[in-house]
Formats: sequence, structure tokens, C-alpha cells
Amino acid sequence: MSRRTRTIIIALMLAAVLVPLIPLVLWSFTDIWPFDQPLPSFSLRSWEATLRNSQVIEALINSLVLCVVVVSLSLAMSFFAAKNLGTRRFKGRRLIQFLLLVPSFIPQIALVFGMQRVFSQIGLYNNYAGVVVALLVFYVPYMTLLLSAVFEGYDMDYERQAKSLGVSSWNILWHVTLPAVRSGVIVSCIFNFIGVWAAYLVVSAVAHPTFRTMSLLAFPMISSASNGYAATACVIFLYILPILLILIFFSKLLVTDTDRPDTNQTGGML
Amino acid sequence: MSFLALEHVSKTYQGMADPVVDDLSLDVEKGEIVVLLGSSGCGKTTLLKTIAGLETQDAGTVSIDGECVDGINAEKRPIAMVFQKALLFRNMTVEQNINFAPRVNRTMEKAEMAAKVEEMLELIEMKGMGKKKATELSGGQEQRVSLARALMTNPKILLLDEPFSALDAQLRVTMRQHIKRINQALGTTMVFVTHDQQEAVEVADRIALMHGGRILQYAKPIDFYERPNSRAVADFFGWRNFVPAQKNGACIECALGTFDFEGCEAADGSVDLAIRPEAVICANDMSNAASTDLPYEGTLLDVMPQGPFTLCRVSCKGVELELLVKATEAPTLGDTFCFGLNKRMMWPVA
Repeated sequence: MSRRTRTIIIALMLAAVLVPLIPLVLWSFTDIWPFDQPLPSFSLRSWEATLRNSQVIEALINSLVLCVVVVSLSLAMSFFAAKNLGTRRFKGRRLIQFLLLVPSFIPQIALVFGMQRVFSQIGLYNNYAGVVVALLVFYVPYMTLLLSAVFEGYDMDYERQAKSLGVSSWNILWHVTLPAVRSGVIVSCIFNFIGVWAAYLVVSAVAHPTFRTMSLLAFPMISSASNGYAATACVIFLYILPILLILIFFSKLLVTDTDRPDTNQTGGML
Repeated sequence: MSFLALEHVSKTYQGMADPVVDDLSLDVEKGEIVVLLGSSGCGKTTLLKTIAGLETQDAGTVSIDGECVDGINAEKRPIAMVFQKALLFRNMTVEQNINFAPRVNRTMEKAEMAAKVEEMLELIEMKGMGKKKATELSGGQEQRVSLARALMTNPKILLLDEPFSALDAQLRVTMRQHIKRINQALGTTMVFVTHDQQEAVEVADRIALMHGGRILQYAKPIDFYERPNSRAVADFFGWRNFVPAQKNGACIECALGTFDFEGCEAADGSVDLAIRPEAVICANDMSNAASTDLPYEGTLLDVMPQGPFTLCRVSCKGVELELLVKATEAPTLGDTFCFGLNKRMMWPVA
């Protein structure tokens, strides 16, 4: 692919992501927008109100904490399992991969109400711990599947080589394995982050109505726009912002990934 | 006591009926290059990985410098290994690749490490290339860096698993010379795995020819050309003619005549007299042939040019022989072919 073609494709992709945000940005800064005016009269009134709203701030903090905790825990819990699943060929491997898909097949609604009942009996209802456990049920298998695909292309000989040079297991993990699968791990974490950030049904089932997250706050607002378009636009913008920031932060790494032991190792995933 | 000693080592992989390494014993002296030679699947790489600690043997012991290393993890063994692929870390420079182990393990001071890297670069004849990226190297350079990376850890034993098999023929010759030179300069004990007979002969102080997880013969390279201990060994080393014979003590009797072979360990009775194709001594006519040990007159069945040599299939005294003749002396089909045989290239095998 020529440089020019690539630039055009990237520009089109960026446009597809950013253009729909233009009305949102406009609305969030709107004071009044009479129907006969091409542009609204701008003000920061809605933003000030949104950022002063304790429910929004609480939801934002809760969502960020949940994302960081769930993504970190699911990464820690799934990394070595995924590595074995991706690099080793053993009897029953396909069955395990199928079982990991099961939580994705079964509609969440079928599970979450059972969870709600059990969680309320064991003191996990309507608190951080309960929400984290409930989300891990869905996102650990998901992360394991994603990472096992990353490890499919991983060459274990690099680790054997390092081992034969006397490098300790911790240093092998840090200096050999992680750099080799870094991009795949980042992509998997981003997918999980987005999933946890947008989780509505699971969170609302095991922690509602006093526990607030951005999705619990944003979805009813979007469906009713009861607080007015400007306030809704502000909340939606805050809802989208972390995901956009993460994508922007990691985009350079994901587009030009040359900083790993062997660039041919995890190509399938990326 | 041997520097590296393997005693009755066996290894069977899960799901396989036959052992990959079967009750194998091997002694390697300090500073020696021993080549494990054999065709694919004969167990040589498994044996190498067992020495390295990357595989665990089912039975037997491995000792290094008098110390049993069974149960010691690969990273704790005084060994370094060079693999078939160079396995350089592509996000690093040549220098970073070479000092990888001491740098990440923090086992060397910075100044000492820098000096050692320079020493290694000089040893592999890549001085001044330390700042180059690993991705900018040729195949031969990559393998040399891999070698330097292994030597950087001061291993007591260096294991090399077909390190040059992916390189072109000319480069392989150069790399073999590098190995010999490094061995002479550092005195590092090396165990080298290859399936290439020529490579084995050029590099080895001793060769262990393997088949079916066992060592068929463990000897100096010249012995495989002069005294193979079995027909399988002779086959592998290019002995193409096997004439049925009877052995009685040192006396061997076959259709081509009677010969004396001192020191042959084959049991008395039926044996094969192995004859290398290069054993032929050419004579253009019978008068010249008469000046050689054993003059024969044969019928030429086939002539196959092979560059500077020509392979001739000859029928002589009821025996078919394949003989390698210099192209300039090659007979043409229909000629009577007169020749002698060099007894140093004949040996009875069971």
C-alpha cells in the first residue's frame, strides 16, 4: 500500500470517528439554538453545570476505577492461561476455547439476575467488590480468548534462548515476553476497557440505584434527553472522552509497532 | 573425569511409543568440540536440550565439571545455547543483544560490560557495528551476534543447535571457521548439532553419530572415513559399495580377493567389505594398473558426470561397484575399465 493511499484511508477512518462528534461538541457548548439559525449561541453554562454535578463526577470516578481494576485483574488472571492456550498444543485445547466463548454466547440477562440474588446473599450487592466480581465473570474469559489469539503467533524459542543465557523467569517475562506481545495486550486491554466502560446491564443488576457509573447515567439521559440537549451532550461527551483519549494515546504504538523482539510474532492479532 | 558426562540418558515424549533418546552415554573433554551428527528425528536436538536443561530426561544423569546438574533449572546451568534461528531481539541494537543477559540480570558493571562487548565484537569480526540495529544485519552477522551473546555469559559449555543450517553454503564454511577459531581462542567446550556430514567433519574434534536415539559410533572424524564400526555408519558417511565377505581373524575373503585388516572389531563370519567410491586408483591400461596394489579389469555399466568427478558403475568379478573417478581420467562407455583399489578406503563392517 502506497503512503498516499494509507494517508487517505487513515483520514477517512478518523473522519468516520470524529465527524459524528461535531454536533455533540456544538450542542455541549450551546446556550440557545433557535431552529432558524445555522449556528447556536455558545456558552459554557452546560459544562459548568455538568462538572458541578456530584452525580456525574461520582459516576466518572466509579467508571474509571472499575475499568482500571477490572482490566488489570482480568489481565493478571488471564495472561498465563492465554499464553499456555496460545502456545501449547494439548488435548482438550479446543474444548477450553469453546468454554471460554460460552459467557459471550449466553445473553447476559440470563445470568445477571441469578447473580443479583446470590450477590445480595453474600454481601456483594451494590458495592465495588460485587460489581468487579460480576464484570470479571464476563471479561476474564473474553481477555483470555483475545490474548490466546495474540500468543498463537508467539515464538517460545525466544524464551528458551533467554533461559539458556541464564536470564531469570521474571526478567524473561519483563524483557522478552511482554515486549513481544505488547501490542496485542494493549489492544485486548482497550477492548476490555471499552466493554467495562459501557457495561450497563451487569452493573445495573448487581449495584443499583445508588451505585453510579457513566453508562448508568448516560443511557437514560440519551433515551429521554430530560435534562436538555446541551446537558445530555456534555454527559455523552464525557462518556466518550476516555475512550477517545486511550485510542489517541496508543494509536502511534498500534500503527507503527516496531519496538518488540520480533515484529512477525503477533501479526495475526493486529 | 569428563568435563561433560551423560550417563544412560533416556527421554520419551508423551504420546510416543519409542524413546527419542535411548540409554545414551557420552563423555566430552574440556575444550573439545563434539558434534552430534544424525538425520532428522534421531534425538540430537532433544539430547542438546536435555544438556541445557530445557528438557528433562526420564532416566540417567547429566554432569558438568564433575557436578550433577539434574534438577537444576536451565537458567542456573553453566551453559549457553545458540539455536538454529539467531533469535535476536529486533527492538535492540547489536550491543544490546550481546549484553542482554548480564544487563537484565545485572550481573556485570557497566564499564566491564562495555569492554566485554567490544571484546566479543572483535571476536566475531564485527568491530564498530555495536550500534547497528539487529534488523539491519545479514543472516551470517545475525548468527555471529547470537554466538557472541551466548559467549558473553562465559559459559562452561556452549551448545549449538544447527546454527548455520539457514545460511548459504559459502557462508556456512566461513561460520565453521569462526567456530573453530573461537574454540581455539577461548577454549570453550562446545557441543554442536548438525545433520551435515561435511560440517561435522570440519568442525569436530570428535563426532557422535546418532540414530534412533543411540550413538552408533563416537570417534574422531577420520575414523568414520577409515574405520566405520557398522554398515549404518558406513552408509551415512558415503561408503557406497558393500561386498559380501567372510572374516576369519584379520583375514577378509571376498570376490575381489583376500585382504588383511588389523584391528577390525567385527565378529568372525559373514561381513561386508565396505569400499569408498574414492578408493579407485585409475589406470588407463593394464600396464599402469599393474603398478597398483590390486589391478582389476571391469566392465563399465554406467557413467555419471558429477562436476570434477565422474561416478562410474563397474562390474568386476561378479561384483557391481560405484567408483568416483577424476573427470579427466573418466572412461567412456564401452571401454574396458582397469583400476586398482586403495586399501585405506576399504574396511570390513558387520
